Amino acid sequence: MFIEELKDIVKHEKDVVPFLKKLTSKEKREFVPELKKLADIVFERRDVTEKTKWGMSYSSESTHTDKQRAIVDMARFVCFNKTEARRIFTNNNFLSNDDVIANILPWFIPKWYSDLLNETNSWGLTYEKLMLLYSNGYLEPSSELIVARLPSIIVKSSWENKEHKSFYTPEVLEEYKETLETHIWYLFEAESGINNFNYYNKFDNHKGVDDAWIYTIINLVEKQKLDREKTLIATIYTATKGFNQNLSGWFFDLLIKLNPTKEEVLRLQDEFYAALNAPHSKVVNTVLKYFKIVATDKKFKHATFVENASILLSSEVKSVVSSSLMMLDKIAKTHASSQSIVCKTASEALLHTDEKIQVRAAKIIEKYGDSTNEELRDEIEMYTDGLLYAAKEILSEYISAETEETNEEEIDAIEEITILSEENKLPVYETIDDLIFFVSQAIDNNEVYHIDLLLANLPKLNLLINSENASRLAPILKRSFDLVFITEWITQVGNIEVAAADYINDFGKMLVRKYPAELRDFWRYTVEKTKDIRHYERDNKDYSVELEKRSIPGYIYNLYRFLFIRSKEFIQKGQAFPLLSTPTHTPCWIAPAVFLDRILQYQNTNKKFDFNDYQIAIGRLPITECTKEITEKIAQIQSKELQEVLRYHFNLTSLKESKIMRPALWMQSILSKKNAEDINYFEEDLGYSLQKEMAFYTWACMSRERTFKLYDYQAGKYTNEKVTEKKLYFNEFLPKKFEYASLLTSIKDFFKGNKRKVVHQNSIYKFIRIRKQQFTTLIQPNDDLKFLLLTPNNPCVFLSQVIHNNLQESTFFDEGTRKNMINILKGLYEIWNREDYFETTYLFLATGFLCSDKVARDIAAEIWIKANSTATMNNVLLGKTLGKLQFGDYAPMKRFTDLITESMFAISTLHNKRLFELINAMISTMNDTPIRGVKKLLELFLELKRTFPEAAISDETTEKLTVWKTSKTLKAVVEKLI
Amino acid sequence: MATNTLNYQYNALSSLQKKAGQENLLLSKFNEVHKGNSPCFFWGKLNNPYELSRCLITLSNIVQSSFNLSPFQLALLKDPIVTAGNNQIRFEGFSHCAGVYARVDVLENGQDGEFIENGTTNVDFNTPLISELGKIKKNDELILSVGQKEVGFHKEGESFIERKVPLPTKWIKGLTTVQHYFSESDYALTLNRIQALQLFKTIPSGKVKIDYYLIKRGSKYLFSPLKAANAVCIGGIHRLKLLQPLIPLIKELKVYPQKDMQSITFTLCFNELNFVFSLSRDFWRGFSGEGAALEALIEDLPDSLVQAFDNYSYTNQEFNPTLLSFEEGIDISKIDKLATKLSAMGLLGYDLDKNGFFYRRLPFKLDRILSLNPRLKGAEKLLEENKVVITSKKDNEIEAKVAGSGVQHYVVLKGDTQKCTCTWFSKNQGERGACKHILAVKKKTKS
Repeated sequence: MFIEELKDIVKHEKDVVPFLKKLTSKEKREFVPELKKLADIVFERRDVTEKTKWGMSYSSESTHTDKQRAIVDMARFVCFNKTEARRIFTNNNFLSNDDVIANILPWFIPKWYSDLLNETNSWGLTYEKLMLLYSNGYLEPSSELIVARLPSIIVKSSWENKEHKSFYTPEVLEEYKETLETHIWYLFEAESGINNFNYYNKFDNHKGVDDAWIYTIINLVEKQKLDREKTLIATIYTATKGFNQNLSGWFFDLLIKLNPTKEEVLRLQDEFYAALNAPHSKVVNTVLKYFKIVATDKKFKHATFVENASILLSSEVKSVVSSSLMMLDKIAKTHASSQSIVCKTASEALLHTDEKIQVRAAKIIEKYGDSTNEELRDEIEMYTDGLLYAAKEILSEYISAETEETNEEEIDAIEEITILSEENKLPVYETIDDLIFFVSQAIDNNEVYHIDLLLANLPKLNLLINSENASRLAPILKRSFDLVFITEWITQVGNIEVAAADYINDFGKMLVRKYPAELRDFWRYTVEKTKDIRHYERDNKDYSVELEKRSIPGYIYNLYRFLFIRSKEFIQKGQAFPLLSTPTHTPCWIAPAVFLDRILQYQNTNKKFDFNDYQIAIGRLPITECTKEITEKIAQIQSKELQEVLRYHFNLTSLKESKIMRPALWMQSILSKKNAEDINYFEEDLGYSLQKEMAFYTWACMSRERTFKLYDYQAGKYTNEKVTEKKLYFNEFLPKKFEYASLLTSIKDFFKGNKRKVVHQNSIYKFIRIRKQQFTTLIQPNDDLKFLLLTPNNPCVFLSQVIHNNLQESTFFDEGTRKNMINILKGLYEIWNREDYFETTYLFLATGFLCSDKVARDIAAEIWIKANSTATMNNVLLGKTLGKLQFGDYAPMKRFTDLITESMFAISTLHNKRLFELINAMISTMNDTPIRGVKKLLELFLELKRTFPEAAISDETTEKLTVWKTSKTLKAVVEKLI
Repeated sequence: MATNTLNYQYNALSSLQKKAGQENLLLSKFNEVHKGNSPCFFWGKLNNPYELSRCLITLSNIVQSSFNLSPFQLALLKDPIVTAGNNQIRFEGFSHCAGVYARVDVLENGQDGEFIENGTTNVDFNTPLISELGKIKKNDELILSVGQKEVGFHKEGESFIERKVPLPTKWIKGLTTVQHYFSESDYALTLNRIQALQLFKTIPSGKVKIDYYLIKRGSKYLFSPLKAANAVCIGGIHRLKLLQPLIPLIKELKVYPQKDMQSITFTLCFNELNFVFSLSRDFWRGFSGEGAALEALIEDLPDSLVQAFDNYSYTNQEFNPTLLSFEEGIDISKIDKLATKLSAMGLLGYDLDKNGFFYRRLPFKLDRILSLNPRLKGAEKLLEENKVVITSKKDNEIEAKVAGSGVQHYVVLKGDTQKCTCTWFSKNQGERGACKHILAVKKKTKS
């Protein structure tokens, strides 16, 4: 009955209030189910499809008018309980709209009304409205609600003549007595948006206001409408409330504007001390600023400061440490009785590897300390390891000769690199269970070498499958099958794993044909799932397409594709040949004896090996000493040229003595050995270019102008704009179309005695190419490391691609490139085992030192430490590369100098010597105009020079330093150096 | 029947008030299981108020922190729990994401007071209280009251403060799992204050997504992104920043990695006070999802035994299997398994310093705790539906087929190794506890 009446009201848009007024409580509850149904109808939307000049447009519209919906809302407001109301009114402003306030609340206030308003905190409920509801007894506002609503009250915004206007309205604060008596203090207790009212004089009715709330509070205090002492205390205590950094900083800006007097600071010392524990440096610095003013006053609680100083001195913020040391200095000066404890406390600052801080702390100790005090000597001795030259000189009386000697001992925590050992030997799977459980995890990317092992082990497993055990493979086949269909991003799985799934799927198809009964359930599953594929997905997800015909995501994936196809061939033929390139040791190395066994196995069964597989394998052979076993195995090789190559590879013969018929067979060995004479002979005398294979490009880092198109709205057309970019770039990096010399030209050249034309060889390196593609990740972070590990002896080609695509600037343009950097550096750390890498490898490492990611920088530093411990780092080349990069201001110098102080300095005497060499070489290739931050580099260089006075600064560096001496900021430090 | 809401009902707000020149810290308590006879567990003086207050602030920061949750979820804060008894007080809490566990142990000589009643309880940690704790100075006197001593202060039975939060499933699961990890953690090294300060200076800034390793280079300890031999692994290292404010105050720092590097625990030692801080394997992995104790839970131990243990023990008492075996006349081999099961049920905590379990009954209903392990429930369902077939059973080797969705999984149990062809096992290789298929086969072979 009621519902019919309401439907009529809705239909004719009549006044609903009289109807609602007559309902009893019981009737309201009974009415709810019908009301919900009606609401569903009234709030329903219908789809609208329109044809526009841009094509079809899809939208929706209401089936009822605004007024009709408002009528139903009012009925729901009156009849619903709290749970029902919360569901409906949480995300809108209905609860506080004017209609409700004027027409319903005077005669009916739901029990839940106040609670729900407090809970929902809707943006339409302004502070003024809130106070109106409060003064009428409709609402008991919570402090949270007030904190959320109060800040915006002092600013009013509106649009006038299409212009946005802002008005300053602080008078509202005085409208209700509760506002200044109680509510305003809530803003000092809980987080709010009070700090978001920076108007910088942009009010249309009031000038001279930068920050509206700071201005307001200062005014209220000045007019004594807020108690000054109470305001000061509340402001200081905000530091203990766990506010975010911005808000905390804002309150301390307010404190600075309140400008507490010396007397006030002394009176409020306890409050200031509480603030000293704040996590934000601005707060701590402000407190220290006020403490410095009163430090020498008798009333200052100096002992409490000394007690608290430990935390301050361990701060990461330099200014906090410096100010705290200044305070300690003042305290020691004023209170002689505190000098001993001040010196002990100040020594804690010696932990910092900053010269200024160390010197400041050392001077305090020198001034007020007693060098015969054992306790103080012991304390200082704990820090001697990290003491810099200047501080050490000041504290020389405190450091015993014994300690100095201990420090001289060589510290070498890093072990020698052993490429092939029992610890990093990869497992060999033989039993069916082992093989099943291995294959089961291979596509999960659990280990970087799993795909390589899969290629070797699936043919093995294939030979062990029979009708009894075939069904055990069903879960693996199903997971592999599912992987191809998954559309969402799987964090662990890369494109190579997906290709591996295709390979397993082809294996699955063979098994289903062979064991239809045993794999019936799996087969049914594939049939059912394939049915669901939508038409547009069919191309990529057609289960029936074989591996060979599937498209690959990038050119570089060809290398793995060859291996998959090769391994699949073994499976099809029921053979279990190993691939030559299967690693035997982590992460990618192959034991030479095992490699030779594989070659012999192919030879003994008249099987030809795959050429790409061979080149990858040679690239994964560590350069080790030739043993008797290796010599004997090589002797068994029948192919003369292959035997020659391997004899050359294992130092049994020289390149010049060998007869080279198929240069591509030799190339990887030459690149792996990196013998300069051999490379020269191969390139110059035989005419086989290795330029691309050695990633030998000229490169530079400097400013270049770039033109781009910008849309000019006023002119209504695109214009050409120029921008200067600092970029690292290779010259002639992109491959040019190669033109073969005609037969006639070749003959002519031969008779004229001209040098042979350069001939490019077929090699795996031609596949190591990454093309820029829009909207796709260039190098999939799950695959990057696998690419690096394809050529561990000669990683420069892949690294040159990474530099070209990802590292033209020292910042990363997306998360993928950042991950690439970290993964590849980690891989480089694992494979780094020699000094003679080509320049591009050092260039990549240098970008690692300078890039914007701290983790990547840390890894680069670790590579440097490891390589120097094992004498496998060319510090001069690395230094010159770094200098050349910084010539063009590739990255802020601070990144590099911070990295040195945090991670590379004082590792050991040996490392410090190498660091000296590195900086020495670096300075020599830098710009004559010193870049920002160079001073710190020179200070570090000076520190090292003082440690090793015998170490010579090179002529080029001396020359550069002489030029830099003209700079005012560098003059002093350069003079100490030369 | 467990509901999905936990309703904290406190008689008053926890507070810190100055009375007669002393700071009085009242922690309001609530326990949904055991209401107790006395409204107060402990009342007395704390010997190191400055350090304790800093530890409690850090604990509060941990409880409020989350490394993988939205701000909305963060707003529904859980309160820490306090265990008082056997002359010790322990405050425990978890980060909201259940990946960081912290416990403040006030040692026997760290307090001078009266243990009115033993027990474990939730305590109200509100913002004003934390703010007040921040004002405690070194020479202040601090009286702690866990629960209200003066009964007359509030009307009996009436709750003043009521806060409903979604049932902290993750918390409870994490609280039980972490004890198990502790029992599998070994002491690795001790750093003095300076070494610890140097170490913490090497934490990289920002949210770190890769593993870091605690290594020693020369006499210095540092965190490195690269693994070295015997290095302790730390996933989500940025979580350690929570400890930074405490490091300048410590005496020494002890490190305890779990045997498979699935968690790492740092004990910050102060005078008469320890702060135990444990990190899960990675910032996106809570202790709650690890399933380390699942295998212990499939042990069918008679309820009477668990009850006997519960009756026999008192709060913070060391768990002594031999004594229990003697007192109750139970086979000692059964008692050994009991410890893991009991910790998984929330009845035992683990003290790394003493290298042993201690009794403390979590203030949550037992049925809640047992109903929280989906993998265990999954295994039981597989058995109920007869989906487990043992295909071969030799001396030390069991092979089984377990029906999965559309395929049969193949499970092999051989000596200490156990393998399954399911996705969970393939991805985790048993590092995060057994899959439901292995659990089901194990349970079937036990029955």
